[in-house]
Amino acid sequence: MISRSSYTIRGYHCDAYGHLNNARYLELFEDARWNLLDEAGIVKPLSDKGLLFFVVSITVNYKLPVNDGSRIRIETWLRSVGKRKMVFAQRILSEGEERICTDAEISFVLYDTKSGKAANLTEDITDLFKDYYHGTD
Amino acid sequence: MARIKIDLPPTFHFVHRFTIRLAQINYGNHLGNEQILLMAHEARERFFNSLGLTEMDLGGAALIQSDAAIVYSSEGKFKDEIDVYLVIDDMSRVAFDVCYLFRNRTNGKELARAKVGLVCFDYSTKKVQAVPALFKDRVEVLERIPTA
Repeated sequence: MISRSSYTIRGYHCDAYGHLNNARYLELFEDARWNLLDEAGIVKPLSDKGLLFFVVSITVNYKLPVNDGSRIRIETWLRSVGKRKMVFAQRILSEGEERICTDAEISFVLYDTKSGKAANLTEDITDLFKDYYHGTD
Repeated sequence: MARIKIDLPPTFHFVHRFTIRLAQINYGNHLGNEQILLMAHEARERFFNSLGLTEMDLGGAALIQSDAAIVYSSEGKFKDEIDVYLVIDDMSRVAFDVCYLFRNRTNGKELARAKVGLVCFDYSTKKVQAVPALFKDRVEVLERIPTA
């Protein structure tokens, strides 16, 4: 399954060029990831375990500008699962034209607030994400 | 799964200091991940300004961002002082990278590294442009700054 979130780009998202500001992409990507977690019902089970999402790295490729007033859709899925780290893949498409404007990979760990360390990704945790796991695009 | 690696030189072209504000703290009680790119952008524009230039006019060209990579090393907390070191790297005919080291002065740890790809661009013709000679010349004569 792929999680899909739609947005309209407003002036306050944009920089002096009238483009979506490079850091605002990260906020929208984060919002779309939270939508996936909500859809999958993952937030409460992880919160009950005292686990928080900590981002460890991000790569973004800006392919086409996203301008004020644009309607976009962010698609989000899980690309890989390691012993302690997972990677979300995300991309922004212009709604209607369906062109990929931006793609990104976000690696994260689940920080265990009890141990103060990254949690091992045991099966009971990875099962929560399984519907959104697609190894490739 | 290999971790992204951002190699940095030992010396930099510019450094700018930030203090982490409460508004930059997220639900993990630390600096929000998106804040790194905002600080990188601000440091970069202050660097261009220190050369008498701006990102809108880098001596005859504007800039458009092609990519970005960030690796987070430690947490930033409210009121921590962060030195953002930057260096211009990998300059081609029409593009260059800006590489960043975010160092937390409050605890002495590395906070993050980042790399941003920028392309010189003419927004009126929508075409890429050569990196302006004025910018190249001004960068070339800068004294390099070691990290503190």
